[in-house]
Amino acid sequence: MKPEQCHHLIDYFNGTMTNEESAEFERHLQECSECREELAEIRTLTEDLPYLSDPAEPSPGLRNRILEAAYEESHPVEAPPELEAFKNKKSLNEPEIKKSKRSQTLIVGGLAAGLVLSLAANVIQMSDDKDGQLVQSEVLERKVALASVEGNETSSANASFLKEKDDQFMVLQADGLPEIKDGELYQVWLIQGEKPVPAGYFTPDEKGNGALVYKVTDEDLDWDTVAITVENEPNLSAPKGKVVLAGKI
Amino acid sequence: MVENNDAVLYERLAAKDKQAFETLYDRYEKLLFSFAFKITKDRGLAEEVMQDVFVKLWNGTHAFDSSKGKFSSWLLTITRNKAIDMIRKYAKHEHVELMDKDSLISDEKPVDKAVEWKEDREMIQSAVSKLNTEQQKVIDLFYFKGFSQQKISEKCGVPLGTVKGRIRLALKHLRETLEKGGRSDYEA
Repeated sequence: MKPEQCHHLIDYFNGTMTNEESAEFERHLQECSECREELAEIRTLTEDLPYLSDPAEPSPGLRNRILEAAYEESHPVEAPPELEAFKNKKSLNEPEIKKSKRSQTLIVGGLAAGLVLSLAANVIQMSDDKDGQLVQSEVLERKVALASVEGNETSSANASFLKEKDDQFMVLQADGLPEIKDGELYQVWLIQGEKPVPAGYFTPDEKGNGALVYKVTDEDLDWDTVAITVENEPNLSAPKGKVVLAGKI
Repeated sequence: MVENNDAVLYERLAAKDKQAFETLYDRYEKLLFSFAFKITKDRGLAEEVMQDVFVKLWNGTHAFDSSKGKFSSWLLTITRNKAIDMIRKYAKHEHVELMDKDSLISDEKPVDKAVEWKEDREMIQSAVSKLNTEQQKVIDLFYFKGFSQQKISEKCGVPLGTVKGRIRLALKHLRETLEKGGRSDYEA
């Protein structure tokens, strides 16, 4: 008798499962060589199918529109010197951090009711493939611990707010995040009441670790929460996907 | 072997080389658009799919790992995922299905005969035509419509527990027929 999870391969391949179901199937994949082989087989056997498509002509202006859209994406800002240490993975004597006690209902409810608020964001994205940490310096203003809203002990993140001359940066490091599907990304949000602002996005490495540096562009807003959601599109005006981690500032 | 192969161009793209990005765009524009159009059956949605795929390719959201296979396969996979996501979001397939035929092969004659994957298409179409109607239908519902196992079971009138086996069998038959025909890879 096959385990129940073995029957979910088709739905996993086609992405018709919830994030939780997909994560559960991925855990099953690690233990079930038969499912791993079947998945690899289906991937291989479907490789030819796109070539069945009859040729269709895109609009003449499509190329320019797409290239313009791509090149208009956020321009990286120059990282302050303190952030170089982060990239070089030096150690840090971290301050004591209390885990957020904010309830899942409140966080999710606040996000779901989020109003559209568009702010220009400058984001530097970096991959954090080890346990790199930020050097403590005079510019570290505050630090926020993000906890899993589902009580997943293996996932955690820290957001450090830094001041560099007139600029403020948020450096976010996340560890042990659940694997996400192709096309999905982890979106970071700064939230004031029910107003979410996208604060950069990243895709984690194989160990589920990721990091980003976000230049805070509107310091007048009094943020009360940092949250991470799983999204299919970057920088939406409000979250659509599931909240994975959240912490109160 | 294509000069400036995809993996090399991708490495340059990842280092923000616009010329490499545009070369890859030009190389795959028509194939990806045609594929997205086959899935969405809507030009506007197909163009949205294209924009999403290429913008994310440029900004690094979609990162290619050459150790996991060919660039073209990876690019087609993310295109399919986005296109299927779109048709789910817009719930268009309910309307489209009414016009769909069971066969994967279009009766319409393509306008452009001089396309890069013409040879592959003809070979795959020929292999598909050797599958029985039920196998063609199961591949279409599974791959081009992205339906759940439950929905495929309902549409084909087969037990839920047999859907995966039927899909695998149909795909294996297709591959065997193709191998007999000695197909060549699209990507060098």
